[in-house]
Amino acid sequence: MSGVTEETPAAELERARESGRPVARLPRWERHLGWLYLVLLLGAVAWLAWFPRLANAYNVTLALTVLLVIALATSWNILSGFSGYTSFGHAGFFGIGSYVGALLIFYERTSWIPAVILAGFATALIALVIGYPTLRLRGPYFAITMLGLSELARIVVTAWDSLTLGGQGVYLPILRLEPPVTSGPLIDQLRNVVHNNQNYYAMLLLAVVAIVVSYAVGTSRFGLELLAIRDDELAARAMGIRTTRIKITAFALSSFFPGAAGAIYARHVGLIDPPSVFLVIWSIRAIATSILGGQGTILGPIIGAIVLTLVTEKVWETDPNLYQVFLGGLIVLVVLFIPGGILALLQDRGWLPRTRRI
Amino acid sequence: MDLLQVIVSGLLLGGVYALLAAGLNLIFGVMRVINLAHGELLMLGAYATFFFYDTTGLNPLLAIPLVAAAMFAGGMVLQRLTIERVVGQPLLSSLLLTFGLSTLLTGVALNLWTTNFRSVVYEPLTGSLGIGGLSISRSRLVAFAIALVVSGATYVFLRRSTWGKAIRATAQHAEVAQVCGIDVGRVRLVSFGLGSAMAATAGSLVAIVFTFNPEIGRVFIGKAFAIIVLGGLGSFVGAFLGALTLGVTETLAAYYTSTQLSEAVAYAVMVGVLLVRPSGFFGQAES
Amino acid sequence: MDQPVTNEAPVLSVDDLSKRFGGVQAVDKVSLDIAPGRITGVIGPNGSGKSTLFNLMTGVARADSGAVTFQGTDITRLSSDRINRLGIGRTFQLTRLFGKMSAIENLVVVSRHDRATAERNAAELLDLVSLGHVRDEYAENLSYGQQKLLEFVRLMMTDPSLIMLDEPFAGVNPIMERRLLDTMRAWLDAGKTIVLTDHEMAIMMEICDDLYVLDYGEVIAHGPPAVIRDDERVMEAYFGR
Repeated sequence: MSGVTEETPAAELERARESGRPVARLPRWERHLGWLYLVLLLGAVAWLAWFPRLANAYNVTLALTVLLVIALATSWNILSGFSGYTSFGHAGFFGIGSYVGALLIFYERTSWIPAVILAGFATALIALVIGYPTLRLRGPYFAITMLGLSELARIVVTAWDSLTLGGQGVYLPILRLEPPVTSGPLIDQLRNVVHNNQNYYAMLLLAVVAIVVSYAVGTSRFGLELLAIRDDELAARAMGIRTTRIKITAFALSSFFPGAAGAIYARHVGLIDPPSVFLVIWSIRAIATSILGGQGTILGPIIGAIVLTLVTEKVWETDPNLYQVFLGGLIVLVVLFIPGGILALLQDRGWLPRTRRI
Repeated sequence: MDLLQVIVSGLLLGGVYALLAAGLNLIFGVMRVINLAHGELLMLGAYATFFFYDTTGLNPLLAIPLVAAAMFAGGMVLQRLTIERVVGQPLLSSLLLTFGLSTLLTGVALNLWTTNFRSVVYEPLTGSLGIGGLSISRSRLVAFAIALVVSGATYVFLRRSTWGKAIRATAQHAEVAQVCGIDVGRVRLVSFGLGSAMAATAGSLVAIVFTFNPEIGRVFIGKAFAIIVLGGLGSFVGAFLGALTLGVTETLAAYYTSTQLSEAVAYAVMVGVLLVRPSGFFGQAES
Repeated sequence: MDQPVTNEAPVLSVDDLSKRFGGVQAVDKVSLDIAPGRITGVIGPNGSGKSTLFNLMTGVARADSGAVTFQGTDITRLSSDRINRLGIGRTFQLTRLFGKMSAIENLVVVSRHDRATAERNAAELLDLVSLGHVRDEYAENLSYGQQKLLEFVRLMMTDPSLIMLDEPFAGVNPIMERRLLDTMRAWLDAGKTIVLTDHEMAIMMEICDDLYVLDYGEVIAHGPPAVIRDDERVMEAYFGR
């Protein structure tokens, strides 16, 4: 019975008034945030669509990486950020998606677009199957089980070499670049740019879909139900929320994106092997990015992905080990000092409203 | 005869695992923190032993008390700076924190020592002994004996000494322990130091028996979780039996299939047991 | 000693329900009937098994043996979300709100109507209990009394026909207590059935139509307050030790 104190009505009123800040209603502009985002998103997409015409190959790849991390972090957040079921298994889904996509192209000569889509759905299906037993576990045990399953997937893919070619990896045909077309009809120029940067555009589309899905989840009742599970799963169930169904749905939704992203990534790099695509760093990236920006928010993972990737990409390319030090240190600092991430910090200061549209 | 050989070899392996799992168990018991960086503490112990041997050329077993003492101190520093701040918070906070620490320590080690595998090859500890027709690796036998002694000593320490009683009281019920005049903050500090020292000792033994690189932490944490799943929380004996079971199963898997698949045993055990018995991880630790 | 308060069929009946935790028999072959449209109280000293009984009845914990029947349906093995959807709503001894969600979100999330209707209902309910001014505040930042009220109105969002309140008056000041009682009266008027627990004899005697007294997980007495008041075993359980 600790923590239960008698309060006089006056004290209660006092507390209501002085609980941190004035208990203001959400500001009027909050209602229109959706439209603002739409405009921003369309603007960003238009600019990013034009970007390969302006930038050199290095910067296009950098932008592709930012988009990849947005897709990974935003999708990780759909389950783990909203419901609190932290998954250390995103790398596993990324790896599985890479392999499904690469093997479809390698064996079946599937054209790459259906291969990417199938990779996403195959991963989501796997999540559906493993979600039923694993999501019955309480949060921390789910987290550790996912760590184990992710490693298990890597070992199985490595060992099953009759199908996956094992440790030697899978080579994919390199995209044949056309010579740049800089004159003539605009439509030809565009087709030329799109052709030469297929993987970039695919990743752009995937990131946009991930963001739209994340917004839809974050602002819907489904999102509130996930948050209720995070805050008090037992009470949520007792209030009639179908927690199992909701968690599994979120898990499948969340795993589609690393799967599809893995397949695009496989095509982008041209060679995948188990150590490179099942690398724990893919999970670490998604997690570090999300918690830095703010897990359980819509904008958090996006902001985190842009900031963190632009700042650290040089480190990742030149010294992956140092990169790991950096991300590990970042996770420690965020958990200790800004557990809610940047956005929650701003919300606690009262600089941003506490709305689900953030 | 082959089978017996494999089983004995697996049992010897289990001793080192037990030491690792016991430390993890102790830390969880006292502060309800799942230490995902436990494998990295082992990895640091292995490197410390390696460098001791590399610079002095002395018997690497002499390094064990030094390494344990250093990691006892290092563990306490780590506890004060980081872990203590998340005690009492939801398990997920500490899980993320120790995940960050694990990533950080692995990264630092990779920077310093690269992914190259190393091992401590000390002549008197190499080769095998022939006992009753069995050929037993000398280093494994020594490692098993030391793991057994250290585990046993810790067990007696927790059972008999005043500190041990304080630790167990805190693990049972922290608030009650506090009311009874136990400084639970210091108990947590010492427990984490002790758990770290046990992990480091296991690391020293790993350095003697196996080859290692900065990434083995992740492999060993998987094994430690599998053992705890098998043996149950808080049960010293249970964890010991779990460790022996895992050691034997892994060795059998390596013998009958491939080394690669034997790596999967720990994860498969962990996932399998959890799915059959969802409450079975760290028991009914929180309701 | 069993005297039914009404002749109507019970909305909910518990038959021989038992639950063990390790060596402790928390609930021991408990049987009870809940009469419709009334307030039934379950009283007993702290640790007598009231909360466990509630948890067993609402699917939060699994019974070892026995059965719970609600409006003719066996709900013993159902999960708590399904039980809730059949029409049993409950509160917890210590309030269990969704802390990092605003007051209004705490209500909207459990509603079964479309979003717009849910928000309208939620806003009305918040105004009804004078919590309108804190609708966008995180539940964890509300005062204890406000949290209690919020938990009460969250219950109403799912419109249960049977309402189970676990120690609703614990730690509540007299003014808040009156407000809770008024709310409960309104529920009865709306045709709902209420079950509540408490260890405060006095208040339970005052408001309940029918009482079950629990001690060491067993029902030791049952009847209207007037009968319970004079029961020797009850006095013994409360004061005799």
